[in-house]
Amino acid sequence: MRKLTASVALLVSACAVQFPQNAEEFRQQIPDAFMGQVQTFEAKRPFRDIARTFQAKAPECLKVAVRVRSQTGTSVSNILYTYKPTVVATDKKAELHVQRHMEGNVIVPGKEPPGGLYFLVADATPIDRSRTRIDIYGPSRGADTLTRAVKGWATGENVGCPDLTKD
Amino acid sequence: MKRAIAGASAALVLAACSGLKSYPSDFPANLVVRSELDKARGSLHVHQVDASCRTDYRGTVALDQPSVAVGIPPDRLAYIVATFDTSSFFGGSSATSVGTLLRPRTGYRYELRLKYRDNIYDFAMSEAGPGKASRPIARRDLDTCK
Repeated sequence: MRKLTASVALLVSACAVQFPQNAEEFRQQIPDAFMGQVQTFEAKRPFRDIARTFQAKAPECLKVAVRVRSQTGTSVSNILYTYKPTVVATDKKAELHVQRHMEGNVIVPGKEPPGGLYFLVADATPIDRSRTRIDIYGPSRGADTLTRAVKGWATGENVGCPDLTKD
Repeated sequence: MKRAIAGASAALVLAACSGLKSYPSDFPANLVVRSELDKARGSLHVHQVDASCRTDYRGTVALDQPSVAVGIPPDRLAYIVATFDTSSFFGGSSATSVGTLLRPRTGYRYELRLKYRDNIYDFAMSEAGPGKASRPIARRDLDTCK
């Protein structure tokens, strides 16, 4: 249900908004976007540890394809979601970009960047030797499991993989 | 009512299309699967992998106990896929799966720890040689076979 809602919302919002073509455009558009949100918190964990966790978990957990078939009284949906994670890490910042490409009976009314539409971006920046600031840009609905997983990777409290059939 | 069925790997889809069958226990148990599953049913699908990296589905083991022992042919490449099935009244049913290539070594013991809770899962494989301590081994996607 949530995925269908998110897809519809995405398509509706797409009619008025040009899709971000890179992570920076995504960061800029999310705060004002319909159903967009920015979550910021402080992780009590060294920046380098978080960067390493992003680098390890993103390809392990997010390089996946998920097929979702759904049926209502009047319509049938069959969409293959292919996720593409990218981690960009320097001494001053670690970025996790998650893109999602949709195939099936769905129309994406706009230019999709290579790798798929930007779905979530998480930035980690060091505060001091033991604390790190985390900013997560993404939809306010339809990415709950992914967002929780990224928070778990940042805090180190849960480094499991998200079941993306739930988003 | 909306019904959702989702899959996360081609291997699972292939296995599902060919029809699931019980995995025959023709080999001494060298893999122990320890699972902690909350609101999910688990299963393990075993595929043999040939020199051309083609998979041959050999069977499925239901992970209906906290610990299940499985015999994987040693010194041959296998593709082991764990599947978590969940269902709810409003959310329909879905399945997500994760797999790894594994070439068990003769005399070695392997352990796969699976967890599923709140839509987050863990998949951790380790091996222990004769008289040696257990060590984690990285998951290998099927596309790394070649």
